[in-house]
Amino acid sequence: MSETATAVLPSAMTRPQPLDVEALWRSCADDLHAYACTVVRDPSAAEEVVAVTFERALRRRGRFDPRRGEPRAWIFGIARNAAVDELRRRGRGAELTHDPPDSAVSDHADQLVERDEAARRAAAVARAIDALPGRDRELVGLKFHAGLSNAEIAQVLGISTTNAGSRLHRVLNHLREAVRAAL
Amino acid sequence: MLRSEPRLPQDVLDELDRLDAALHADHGGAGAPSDRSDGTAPDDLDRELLALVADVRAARPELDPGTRMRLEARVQDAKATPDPRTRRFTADRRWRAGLALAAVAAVAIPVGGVVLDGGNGSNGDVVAEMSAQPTSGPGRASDSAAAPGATGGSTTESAEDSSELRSPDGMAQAPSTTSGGSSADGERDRFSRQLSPGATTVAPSPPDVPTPKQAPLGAPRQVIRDVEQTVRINPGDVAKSAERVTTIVQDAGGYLGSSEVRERGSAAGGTFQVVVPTGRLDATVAALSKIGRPVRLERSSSDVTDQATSLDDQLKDLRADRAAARLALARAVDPGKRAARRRELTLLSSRVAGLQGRRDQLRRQTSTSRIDLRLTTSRSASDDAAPPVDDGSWGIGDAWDDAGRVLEVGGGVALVGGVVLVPLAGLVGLGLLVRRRAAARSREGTIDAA
Repeated sequence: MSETATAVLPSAMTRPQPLDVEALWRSCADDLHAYACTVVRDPSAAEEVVAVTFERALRRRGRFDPRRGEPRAWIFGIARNAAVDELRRRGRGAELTHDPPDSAVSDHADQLVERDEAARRAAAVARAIDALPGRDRELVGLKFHAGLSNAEIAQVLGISTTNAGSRLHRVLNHLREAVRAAL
Repeated sequence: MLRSEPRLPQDVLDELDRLDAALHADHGGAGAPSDRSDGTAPDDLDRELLALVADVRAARPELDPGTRMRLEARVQDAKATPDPRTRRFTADRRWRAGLALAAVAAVAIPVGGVVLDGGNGSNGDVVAEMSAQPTSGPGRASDSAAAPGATGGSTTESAEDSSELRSPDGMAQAPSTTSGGSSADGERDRFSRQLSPGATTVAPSPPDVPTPKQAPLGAPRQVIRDVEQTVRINPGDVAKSAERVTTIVQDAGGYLGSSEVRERGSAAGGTFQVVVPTGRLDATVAALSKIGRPVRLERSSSDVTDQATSLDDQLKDLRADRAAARLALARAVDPGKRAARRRELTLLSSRVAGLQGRRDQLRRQTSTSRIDLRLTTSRSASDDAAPPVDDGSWGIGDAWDDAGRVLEVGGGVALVGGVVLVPLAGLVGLGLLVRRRAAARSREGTIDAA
């Protein structure tokens, strides 16, 4: 059998691999859900946001340009817009809803024992997160819950990396103060 | 970026680095490298920060199995739904193709118009006084054909007159039009009059005042064309130039109606009245302009088709009247009546001759054209150089001119387009920028309100 020599093209000449949206979505579905819950503060709305994120990412996969950013930042940007649309659709503001008590899901606020310092601290943090303005709460969702880097957060929010870092630092200080105040 | 981002204070940067390290540590990344720029090990991290990160992580909403199943169902549905992008893509392609065709047409039509005008309209550069556009083709052909016909007209006329008297049925018939006739349709007009047995007189036709009758629009036009031309020559070339004029006129089949040449003195030069066949007018003007430097060229034209048609009609009527008068004379017996018929016949004949003469003159005027040529050796301020005379041919120079005009038009279109489109594009861009920022602020406002 004759051997066929295969020429290896330079990377600049090869067509970029199409984005596997489903694999990407599955890899960060939990993070997307955590982020969505932090922003919209409604589990059913968060579920809708995560589902719509996949649908829109699937339709727009051809528009993803790896030169413009990371895939995770791209899909979180879609999730952000979906969250905004969901909030507008529902026409609600800062109404906090909770699912009926479910023994499988722990409610931090109810289970904490007042005398436990760790519990007090955790409860203070939870309350502080709830009390944050939406934009700051969103940062908590992106940085702490979804684990995005500062550069990725900047891409999602459409701001500079410096701006993202500055905001993050402010949120961190706010949470710290909340914890210190609680202790 | 045109300007560099402002740097955060170092303590803030250090804080953020510690946060990243704490997040890594809390995530339990095995072998996760330290994110700190100074290489501090995770054990040395701020305990408080670690605890804070852990507490925030503990508040992370988790995806329950029920939600996960519902999401999975939505994912499968989304994958099964056909992508509407392909339909839109096809429509977009059609739009793009339509826009591309429109853009090509928008450029090709003015460019093509300029090229066609350049091929036909060089005469427009010449100073011209034109009351009517001279026609070509059938009009000239009829004019050229009229020239020999005009000289032989009288012969034709005599033959037709004798044939009228020999008409067997006693009907006077008007002669058919001559070979150089101006009837547009080329048909033979037949006019018959029936004389009652008792009729002794034939009412003469109305006086021959030319009342132009409108010729049919499709009739070949008959146009009188005249040219006034001035050419500047060197003072020592007067005789040679005069000879050249004679040669050119003879080659064109024309003749010099008059000429006056002054070979010496301050007013050296010459004036010529040139008569050439109308079909050779443009070539003759072009050849005469090459004798020296053309400084003036004026063309005039006058459409006399209606006048010629009217003359022909009047002639026909008069001939019919004359034929009837001859018949009446032949039948008259009484000497007194015969004398009266003779006087009538004489009057009608003279009127026919007069009209015939005018018609022949008109034919001569349209079959030949006159050029009033002036050769001058003096240079005056009013002698502006006339642009080159177009002899009808298309050569490299014409191509160069046409190319220049195309570039002019293209440059003009680009300039006008730029003047209009650049501010519009700026406004549109500004509008898009404002809209994008407004949308971003709106999104942030919505999230803040949540």
